[in-house]
Amino acid sequence: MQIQVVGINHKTASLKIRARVGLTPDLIAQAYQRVEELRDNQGVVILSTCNRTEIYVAGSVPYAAIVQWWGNIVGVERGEFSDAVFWYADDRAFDHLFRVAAGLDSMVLGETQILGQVKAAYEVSQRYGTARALHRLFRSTLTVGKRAHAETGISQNALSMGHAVVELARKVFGDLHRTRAVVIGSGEMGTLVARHLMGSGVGNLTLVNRTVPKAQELAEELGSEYAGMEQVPQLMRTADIVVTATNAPEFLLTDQMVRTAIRGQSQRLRFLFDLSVPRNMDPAIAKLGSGMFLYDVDDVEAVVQANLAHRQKEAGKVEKIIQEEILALKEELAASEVGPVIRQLRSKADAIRVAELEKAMNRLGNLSATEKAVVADTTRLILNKFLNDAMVTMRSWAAEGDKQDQIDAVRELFKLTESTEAPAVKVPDIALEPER
Amino acid sequence: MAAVAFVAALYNGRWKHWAFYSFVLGWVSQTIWLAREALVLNVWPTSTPYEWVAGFTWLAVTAFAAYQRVRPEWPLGGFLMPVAVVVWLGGQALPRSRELAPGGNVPAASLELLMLACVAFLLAAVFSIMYSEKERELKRKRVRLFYYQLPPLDVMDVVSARLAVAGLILLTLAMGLAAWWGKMTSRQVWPWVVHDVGIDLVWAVYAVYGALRIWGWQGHRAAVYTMTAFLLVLANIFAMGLMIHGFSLYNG
Repeated sequence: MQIQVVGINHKTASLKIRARVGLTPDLIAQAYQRVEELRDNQGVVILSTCNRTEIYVAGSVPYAAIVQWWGNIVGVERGEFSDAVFWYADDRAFDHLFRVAAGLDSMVLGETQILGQVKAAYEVSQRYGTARALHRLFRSTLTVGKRAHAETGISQNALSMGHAVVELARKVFGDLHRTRAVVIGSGEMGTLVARHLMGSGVGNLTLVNRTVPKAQELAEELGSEYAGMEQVPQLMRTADIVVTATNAPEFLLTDQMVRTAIRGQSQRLRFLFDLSVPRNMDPAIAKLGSGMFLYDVDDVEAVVQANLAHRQKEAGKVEKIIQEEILALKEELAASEVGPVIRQLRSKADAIRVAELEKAMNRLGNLSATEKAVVADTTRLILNKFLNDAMVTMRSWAAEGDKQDQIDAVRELFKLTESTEAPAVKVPDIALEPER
Repeated sequence: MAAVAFVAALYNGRWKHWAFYSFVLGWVSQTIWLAREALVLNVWPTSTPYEWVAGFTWLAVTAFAAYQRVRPEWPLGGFLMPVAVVVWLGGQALPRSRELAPGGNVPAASLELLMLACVAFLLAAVFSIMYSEKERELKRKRVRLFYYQLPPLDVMDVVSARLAVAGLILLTLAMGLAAWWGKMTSRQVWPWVVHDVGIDLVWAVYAVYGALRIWGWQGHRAAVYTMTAFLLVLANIFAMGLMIHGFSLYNG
């Protein structure tokens, strides 16, 4: 059985195409209701986020049929987006999905949100009963995602300016709940940092802006305090974290102002972030005390780059996890392919044995019960010994994987079908003793 | 081996297994040796400077193991084990026959309390080293190893301070017990001899540290202070152990 994925993502398609052929929850519901249009499918799961739309299909469904079906669902001609579509099958499809779940294929390397989206997509397909032969793949995928985040640092360390400010502050202050922060500037960056600080549970946040009503408006939204620029010197005295993010062309915090504000507290730990261009904090402030840390926008960006390098290093560990899980999945899938064949072969052979034994017993009418049991037992032993090598070989195929052709050959040779799995002939009473 | 592996583990996590196994091997060997000595002497071996240092390093790495169980994510071993190994190697030069407290003038409990105090001072110094390394990375704005691995600065600062104060309390108890014992046995509470002055000096240095913390010392200066103070402890152990008759408390 083939497992394939057909899809588009941020690497293969423009935002315009992604928006046109993306599947909204309503369209996904429609697609699951029309899943029978994909003839011979043995399972379908649709993953659709703002960066990707991917359709996972189990069974021998042609690529063109899947793309055509997708086009029909979204009402877009196949030719309009087929150039942006990627297709992978079996190992490459597993590898792709595992990489997606671990965040290796995301715009932001190692992001965790995608794992939740994969899980949600799988759950929706289960609700519509379409996952079927894809259960094992998606269960393994969730395992890969969890292992990647738990066993490696792929999702650790900030990759955005706002997050990096909070992360740096946490490197100095273990518990942000006990810190006081001041954010000067209510523009885009100031607002972003203020949101991150509030989200990380900073103890007290004061927003400062030249236009006080603007600071007040944002403060009311975030549940923080606000103040005018004239209060900065007083706020500096008690602040642990200070962020400036304004367009002011001059220093808003001079070394003299800070020196006065922190008099007698030069050892106290303070983290100052100057995210303004041009600078709003005099670089000389960094030398005002051993506990003073001053980072400008380039310094924070350097931390972000270091974090990215750190995540890229961790990606190697995730790749190892992915390879381990692909091997495990292939073994599991192969076992699930071989298992029914073994059962069908044994079942068919035993049915023949029992039927022929019954005929023989009818011809040998004067045998005692003990003699009948001995004959029945002997036929069973002959059958077991004859099938033993075949069973051992087929079980080894399960461990090796990639033996679909041989499995199909066995099915063809012995004319095995689903119906041969159940005993075709009623077992008569002569099989008295348990199998040895 | 363990010290090298713990330092290597700071740079490459794959060394953690080697660090763990070599640590267990070293710790078990030292424990067996100490237990054998204790069985022979019928008391925990702290009677000679050599034994005392051997016991001190054993207690330090045992405390480290206990700490790692509570905080497995903190790479304490990479900083503590090299110091412990250097102290242990230095201990090999100390006298193995000369008694710390001839005539049993000092209770064993006092020497063991002193040992505990020194372990606390060592751990305080190790946390200060960690603080300094992380602070240096943050100040240089080149985040590398310690930025990702070490706990927040304020946490290391507080842990170091608590350990130093705990050490001071233990040292005070050790000195008090020795003084009381001295009064009971030889009516001599404060024998003003050089090896006792060393202990008194250590006590004074850490008492000043406690006072400075109350007055607002923290961070960089406090870290430098505890590292320097522990050097004084080491100097006391080795100088008194090598040059003067023991470094014990009020042995009259």
